[in-house]
Amino acid sequence: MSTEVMEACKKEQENQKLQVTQNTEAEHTRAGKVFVPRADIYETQEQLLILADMPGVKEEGVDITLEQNILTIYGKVEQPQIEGYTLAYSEYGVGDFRRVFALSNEIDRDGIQATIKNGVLKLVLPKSKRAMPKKIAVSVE
Amino acid sequence: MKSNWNLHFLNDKLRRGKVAVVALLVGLSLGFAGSQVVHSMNESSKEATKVPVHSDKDVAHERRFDFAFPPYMWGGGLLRDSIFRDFDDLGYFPASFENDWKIGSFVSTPRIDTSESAAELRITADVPGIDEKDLEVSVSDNLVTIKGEKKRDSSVSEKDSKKSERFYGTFARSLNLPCRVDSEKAEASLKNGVLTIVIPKSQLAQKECKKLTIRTQ
Repeated sequence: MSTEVMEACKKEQENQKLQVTQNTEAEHTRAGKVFVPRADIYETQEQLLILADMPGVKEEGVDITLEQNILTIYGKVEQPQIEGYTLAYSEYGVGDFRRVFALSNEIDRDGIQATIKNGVLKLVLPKSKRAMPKKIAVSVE
Repeated sequence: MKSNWNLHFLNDKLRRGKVAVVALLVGLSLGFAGSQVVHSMNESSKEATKVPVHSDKDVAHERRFDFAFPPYMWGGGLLRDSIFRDFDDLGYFPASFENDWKIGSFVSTPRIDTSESAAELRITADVPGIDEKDLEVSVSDNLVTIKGEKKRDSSVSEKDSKKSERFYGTFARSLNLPCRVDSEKAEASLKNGVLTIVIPKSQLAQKECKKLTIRTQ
């Protein structure tokens, strides 16, 4: 196989959903798989932006909690109940999404906004006034 | 005489220009009207967005997939694509064939699940963050192709990126179908980032689904 193919295979593996296997915190109260959503993080001077791929999650299914400085996003996926069909082939598997982010104290907690569109969760985390860069004017004595 | 000719030439140019402008205006207004219709149709079905399905009947060349992939092998993205890629390295496939599969680069294919009932085939694909206008689904007698483009969120710029795990760009994926289908009645819908394609089996294919009882001797 050429290096190009190897690269592509590697990417394909990366592209697979990462399933939560280690249960470091607590047991889940719902049966079923839980996946880690892929996320992009952007940072500007004013805010942090998290975009997470959570296909199949409705707005009612999103649960965002902020405890101390731990931000947890949870997306509940409804299992499609289709009568009369047999599964022929499965690649992605249906399951919930869960991911934990550690926030610094620089985030303005009250200003956090979350929206979901087409299965992508968009979290806007504004930085607190304290953390914003401040220019100090120098005056001549 | 020469100036007269020049004037004539100019007139002709102007006329052509006018025709072009009129054509452009008509085209634009039709386009807008079309999008309005589509928009209002979308709003009426709030639950899931319909994605138009292109049905290509009598596409003979698609059947070439069959020799490598018998109909019982639904999907099988990685396997299939890597086989093709290896053949490609050997220069095995003719150029016309390349066009069929190369668009389905397996780096960026959406993950799919397939299921089947007595009368229908169902394909679901994870396509988070893609609008229905950026998705294209086409169905022929025995092949489904999902094409699309995932665009970057317009509110962010690439230079602010700190961590990038999600995929952006174009993708395409073709699937062999296990039986003949009624491609014109195929439907696709998009809901919460999951694309669902339902394709009814053809009358003939439904008849073929007859189970034999095996007698023991």
